[in-house]
Amino acid sequence: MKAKKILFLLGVGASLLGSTPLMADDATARAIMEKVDARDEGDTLEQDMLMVLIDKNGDKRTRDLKSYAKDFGEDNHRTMFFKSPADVKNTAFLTYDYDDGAKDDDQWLYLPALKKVKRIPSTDKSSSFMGSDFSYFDMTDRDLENYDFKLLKETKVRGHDAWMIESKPRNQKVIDESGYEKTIAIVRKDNHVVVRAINFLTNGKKKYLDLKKIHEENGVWLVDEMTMTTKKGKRTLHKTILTFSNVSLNAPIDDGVFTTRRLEKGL
Amino acid sequence: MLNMCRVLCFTTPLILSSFLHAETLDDALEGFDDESTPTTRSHAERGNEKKNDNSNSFTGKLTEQVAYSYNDDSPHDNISSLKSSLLLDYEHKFVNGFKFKMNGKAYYDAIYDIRGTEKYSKDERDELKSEVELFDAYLEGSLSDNLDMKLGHQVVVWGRSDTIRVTDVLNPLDNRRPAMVDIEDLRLPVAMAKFDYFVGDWRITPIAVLEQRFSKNPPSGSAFNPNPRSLPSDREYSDITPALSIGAEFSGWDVNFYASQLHNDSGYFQNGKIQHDKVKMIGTAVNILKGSWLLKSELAHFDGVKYASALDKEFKRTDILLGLEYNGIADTLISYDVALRNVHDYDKRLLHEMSELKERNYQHAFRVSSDFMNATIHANYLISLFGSKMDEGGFQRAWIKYDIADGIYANLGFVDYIGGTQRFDSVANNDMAFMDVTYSF
Repeated sequence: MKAKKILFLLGVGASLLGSTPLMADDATARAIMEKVDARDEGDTLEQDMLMVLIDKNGDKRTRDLKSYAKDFGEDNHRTMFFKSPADVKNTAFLTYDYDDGAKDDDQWLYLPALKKVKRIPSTDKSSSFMGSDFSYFDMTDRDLENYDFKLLKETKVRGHDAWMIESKPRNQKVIDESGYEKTIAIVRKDNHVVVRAINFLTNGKKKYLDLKKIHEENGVWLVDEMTMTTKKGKRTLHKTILTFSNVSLNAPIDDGVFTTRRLEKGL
Repeated sequence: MLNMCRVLCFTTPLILSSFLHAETLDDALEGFDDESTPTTRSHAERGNEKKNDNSNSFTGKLTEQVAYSYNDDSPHDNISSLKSSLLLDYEHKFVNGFKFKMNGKAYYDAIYDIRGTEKYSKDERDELKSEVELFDAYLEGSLSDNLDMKLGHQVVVWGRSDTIRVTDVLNPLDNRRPAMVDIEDLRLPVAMAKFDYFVGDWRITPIAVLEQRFSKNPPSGSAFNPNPRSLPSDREYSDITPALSIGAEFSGWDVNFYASQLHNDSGYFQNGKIQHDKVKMIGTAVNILKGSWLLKSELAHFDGVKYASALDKEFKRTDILLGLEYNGIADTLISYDVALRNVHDYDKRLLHEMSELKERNYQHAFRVSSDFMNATIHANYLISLFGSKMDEGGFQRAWIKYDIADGIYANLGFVDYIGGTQRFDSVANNDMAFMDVTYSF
C-alpha cells in the first residue's frame, strides 16, 4: 500500500512520486523525493470536498463532493460523488489507478442525464477535472523513474525549512500525458510533505499548487485546504480552492464503494 | 586580447543564462498567493450539514426555450416554439439503504396561443402545446450483498453507443421534435422490475417489462410530419415481457450479452392500429480500451420483425455497430459510430415502406465535444447521416452550453436537417436555431 497515492487524490505532489532510483539526476534530490514517496498517508481515506472555482473576474462556482480512496495492494481505487449544485448532482467518477505504468488506468463516469455508466479513455490526463485547475494527472500516481530531479536550493515556507526541488520528465511521452514541462516542488524538511509546487505547462502557463492548511493525525499529514492557481505571467486566469472536512483516515471502506454498481446507486 | 574575447564569448552566455535562470525562478515563486480566499462555507457550517437530515432531497429545473425555424410555411415559420418547462425531482433515502425516486416534467409552449391555436392541427396542439409527464418513479435497494432490485418507472440503457441505438431497445423515445429533445428527456421511462445479481466480475440482470409503451412520433400536421392525416394509434398490450442482460467489467475491456422478447417499437400498420408484435432479440456489446482510444461494438439480431408492406412474412434483421472514441486531446472527446442494419431474406416490397427500407441500411454519427474556460463553455457538434455514402439524409446539430453561474446555464445552437430521401426531404426545411436558459435548484 502506497498511501501517498491518496494524497494525489488531493492533487498534492503532482508528478513527484515514485520509487525507482536512476542515475542521471541529483542523488540528494532523489533521496528526498523517495522520503516523500515513503511517507505514510494511510490505507483508506473518506472525506467531504468543497471545490470552489474562481474565474479571472472573481466569479465563483461551487462543487460539493464526497470522496473515497482505498489502496488495493499497489493499486489505488477512488470514487467521487458530486452532491451539489443541482445540475451536476449524482455525477460520479471511479478510477482504478494501477501501479504498473504500462497499464492504462480504468475510469468510469456516471452521468445522470445519460442514466448509464460510461467507460472513459484515460490517457490524456492533462484535461481539467470537472472544470477545476486540477487535471486528471494531478490526481493519479506516477513513477519517479520518469523524472530527473535537481535540488535547487534550501528555503523556508510559512516559517518551515524546506527544499526546493525541480523535476523534469525524461521523455516527451510523459510531457504529452501530463501537459507539464517541469515541476518545482517545495518539500518541508520536518515532514516531507510537498507543500507548494509550480507546474510549468507546455503552453507557457503555470499552475501553482499551495497547501494552505495541513495537520497531523496519528502520524499522517492531512490537507485541510489547498489551492491550484493557473497563471499566465503574473496574471491569474483561474483558481480552484479545495477544502476538506469530515475526514476519516484508515477507517474501513467497503470494496463495493469502488464499483460501477455503486456509481449508479449514488451516495 | 583574443583570448580575453574568447573567454568573454564563452562565459557571458553562461553568466547571463544563470542570471536569467535565477530571475525566472524568483519570478515564478512570486506567483504564490499568500492571501487566503474565503470559501463559501466554513468547516463548521459543513460539519453541521452532516448532522442535518438529508434523507429527503427535493430538486428541480426551470427552463425557458425559444426556437426559431427557417421553415417558410406558416405557422411553423419564424419563432416556432416558446416553451416553459419545469422538472421536479424528489428522492427519499430510507434507513435501510433503499431509495425512492420520483420526477416529472410539465411544459407549456406559449407560441400556440400567441400565434392562434386554430392555425395548428388538433393533433399537434394535443401533443405539443402542453404536457405533464411522469418520468422516473421507482424504489431501489439491495436485498442482499449481491442482489439489487429496482422496481417502477425507469430507464435502462443497454449498449455502448451514445449516438446510435442498436442494443438499446428497452425504452421508447420521444421523437416528436427530432434532434431538438434534450438527451435527459429522450428516453421515455417504462415500468419494469429489474434485479441485479452480482457474481465476481459479472452482473446478471433479469428484467420484467411491466408496461408496453412505444415511441412518440411527430403528430400529423406538425413541422416534422406535414401529412394532415392523423397517425393511427398504437395497439394496447397488457402483457409482461422478459429481458436479460449478463455483463462483466475487466481491466481495459467490458462485455455484455443481451436477450429480450419485447414488442417491436416501430411496429406496422394493420386493422386501423399500429401493431407491435413481439420480436426476439439477442445481442452483445463490447468496449475495449487502448490508450486514448475506446473501441465500441454492438451486435443485435432480431427475429420476427414484420413490415406493413409484406405482412405475409416475418423477417430477421441483424444490426451491427462499430464505434471509436478518442480522448487524446485535452478537454475534448471525439467519437464516430457507424451502424449497419441488414434485413435477411430481403423482399423488394420493403422499398414501399413509409420510410423506404433497403436490404442494407447504414447510419453514421460523428460527434465532437470540447470544454473551454474551465468547463464554463461546452461546445458540441453532432452529425448523423444515413446511407452507405451518407447521402440518404439526417441532421447536424451544433450547440454551445454556457454555465452562467452555479445552477444556471444557457444553450445556444442550430439544427440543420439534411435531405436525401423522401423521409428526410419532407422535413429538410425545418432548420432551427434555438436558445434556452435553465435554472437548477
